[in-house]
Amino acid sequence: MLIQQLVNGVLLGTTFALIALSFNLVVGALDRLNFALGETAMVSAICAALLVSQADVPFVVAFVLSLLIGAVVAALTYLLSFRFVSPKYHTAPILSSLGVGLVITSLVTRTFGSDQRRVPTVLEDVRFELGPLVVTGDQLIILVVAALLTGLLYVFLNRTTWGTAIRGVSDDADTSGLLGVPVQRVILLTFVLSGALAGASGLLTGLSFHTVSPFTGFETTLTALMVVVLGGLGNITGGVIAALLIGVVETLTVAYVSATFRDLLVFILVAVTLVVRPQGLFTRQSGVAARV
Amino acid sequence: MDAYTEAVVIKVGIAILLALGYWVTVATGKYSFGHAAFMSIGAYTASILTLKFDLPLELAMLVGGLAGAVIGAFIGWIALRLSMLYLAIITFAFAEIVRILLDGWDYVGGATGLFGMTGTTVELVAVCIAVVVVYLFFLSRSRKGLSYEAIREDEQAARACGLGVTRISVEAFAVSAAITGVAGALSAHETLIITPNLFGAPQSLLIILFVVLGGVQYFWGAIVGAVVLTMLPIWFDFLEDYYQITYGLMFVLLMILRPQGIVGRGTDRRINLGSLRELATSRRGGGGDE
Repeated sequence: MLIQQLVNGVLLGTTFALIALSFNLVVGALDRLNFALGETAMVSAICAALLVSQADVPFVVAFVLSLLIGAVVAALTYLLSFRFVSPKYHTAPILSSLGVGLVITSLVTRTFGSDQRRVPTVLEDVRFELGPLVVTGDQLIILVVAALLTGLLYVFLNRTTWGTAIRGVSDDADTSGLLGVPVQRVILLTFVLSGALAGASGLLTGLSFHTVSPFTGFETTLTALMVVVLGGLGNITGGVIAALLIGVVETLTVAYVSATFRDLLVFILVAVTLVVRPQGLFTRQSGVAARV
Repeated sequence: MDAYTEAVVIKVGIAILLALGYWVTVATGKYSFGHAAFMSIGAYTASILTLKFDLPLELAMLVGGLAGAVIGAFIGWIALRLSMLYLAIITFAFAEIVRILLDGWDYVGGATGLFGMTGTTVELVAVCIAVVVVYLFFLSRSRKGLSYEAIREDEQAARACGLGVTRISVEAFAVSAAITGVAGALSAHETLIITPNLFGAPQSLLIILFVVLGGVQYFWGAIVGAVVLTMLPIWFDFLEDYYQITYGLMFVLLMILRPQGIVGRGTDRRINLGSLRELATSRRGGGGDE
């Protein structure tokens, strides 16, 4: 029973990990938080869910489309709330990306209605039983896709020219610019990548609960924020570990304590972490900026 | 004054109080993302006192403010040594913890909340605003107001000048929480019913928007922001379904055209410059690379 809950928690955590990755990418590239990413995930998930359940599009196609939609929405968010906003004001992009989030939510509810949408099971007959442990086909899909995307991102960032450019801009945008890196295009690329990840996480979360609601955008943003802070801002590995940790804590609280206290424990965990280790659980003492 | 106008005036008045209260902490450059929690502390304290102990609203309101101040000082003492982003997160987490705890506390009705509070009048709200405005007017011209500004513009320089940055910020945070608590008490006795969910993240966000939209430089910028944001839904009533879209796009446009808010000077002065990650790490132990 406990092992089953742990597995469920880790699976929940993998979807958190994707959205946290997507936040951390933007933090790295621009030192800003994109508060519309939760809504980006939501709009991708809603569109994909509609395609799968109403138009009988295969899941794979819908998944690819969710990546594309997420990427496009994130690129638009960049243009609307980051590109032309003066970098001198920290609060400005927060407000304007919240504004974009609001626009996305109301556009979705106007176009598709405010009903919850169903995400049908993909692998209906697949079910693995390892002793007392049960893993459904859908859970397997979530795990494999999330791991695959994380792995691909890792390879892309560390092994390709554009990935190196992203890391360069993330370390020091001015120096990278002087060395001939097209900084604006790299930042746009980062937003596109983060949007695609957000889209994937939206659809996978939808798959794990089998429903998607158009009102969960902001909630997703908040969960991602908790994960990002717990793992250390901009720390990609820390973010993944923190996501799994929060997934496990939430699942165990719901299973053994009460569903109302699910968020409470996470918030207390984050608050205590901030007071005791403000650089995040998994970042070295001096923090990202000082280490570089 | 007919009932409708009176309701609108009280609503705007409470929004102004909330904005002014929030401005006090923003004046020291500290953004809280959980001010709705102080609103709910004030609202619940005052409502318990008027409903269960039959105290007059004026007294209950002041006790509510005091409760806000005490808890605000405690939270500030823990959290204000953190940097901007982490302060935002920890205050947000605090607000959610308060909300969840109230939700599970049967004495105050749990999720269904308390109801039956009345008594907020235009005069009472006006008196509260007047007191706060007079306080802020003198604060802005005093040595203490200057120290707030110094901390906002450059915390390290302020520290180097011998200002007790943490003590001053905590004090500002407590005053801010007190004003917000009073505003919460007044709003509880206007809306008749309060539930924990009224004081969630959207309410905190609205309070921030008042101040950032109006401009953080002068306290009357907060008043402008509060009036504009409270009246917008009424003015834009004819937009109906398109209201939210217009609202969102308005923020996008405003941040591109006037990121400093409606009131305030241009960008030649330093306001919260520097990298978010540096901000996030430089406050503890002096950072690694200095």
